[in-house]
Amino acid sequence: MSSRRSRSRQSGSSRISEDQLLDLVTKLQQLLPELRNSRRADKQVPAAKVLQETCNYIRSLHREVDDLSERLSGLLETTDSAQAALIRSLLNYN
Amino acid sequence: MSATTEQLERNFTHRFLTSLRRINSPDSKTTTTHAAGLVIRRRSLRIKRAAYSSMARAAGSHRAWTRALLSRARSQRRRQQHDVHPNYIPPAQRRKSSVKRAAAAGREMGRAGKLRGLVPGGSRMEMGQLLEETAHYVQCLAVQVRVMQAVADHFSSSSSM
Repeated sequence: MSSRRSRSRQSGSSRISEDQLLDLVTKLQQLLPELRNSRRADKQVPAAKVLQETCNYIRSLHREVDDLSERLSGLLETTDSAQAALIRSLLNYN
Repeated sequence: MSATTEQLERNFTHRFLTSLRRINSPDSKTTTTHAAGLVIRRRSLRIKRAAYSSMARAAGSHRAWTRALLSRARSQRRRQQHDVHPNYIPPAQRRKSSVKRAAAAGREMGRAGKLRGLVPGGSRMEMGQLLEETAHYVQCLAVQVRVMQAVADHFSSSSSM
């Protein structure tokens, strides 16, 4: 299954061009709070730095998911019936 | 992008809240013989898995990372239901061998190698796809965190009333 996927992606040449890779790195850079505001015109952020910051950002988001899961679990403990009603109302609202 | 982000946020919120309701339902709470701390810890693990799965489903199956995440979640569930099969190879070990292969193929390893370990299914992607999938994964994770934060804030403000 995975071989079919990678083949369809690689269309012809085995790797994409340098320019295409740089475009993707730039796109990634714009998603990072740390690097979003650094202007590429002044000084190009090296691709390695973008990748490093991406890793850091993903790790920090994973940690936040961990913390929020714990917090939510604790909150569900406090008032059972009230929370159940609240979830129901939020679902209807959504 | 903003219109689809909004859609994604709605879709994720709905799925996540539905899972929370299931996790919080009385029949999944009957085993209260355990210590409260253990119950909270177990439930937080369920909530975490529900959050990641909800996001993967909300983001849709056209993305490689969502398929990888959901298939990993499925095998996790299977392992919990039955005992571990003697021939079973944990995903982490399988991943290592394909990372090695990718390292041999590409000169962009190094930082990208770490990225492969962080993005679900990343070990089997060529560089261009890895970057595309990473960008999408990062956006989705940010939405996931924002919504979880909002739900937690909502809960804590209403329980203090």
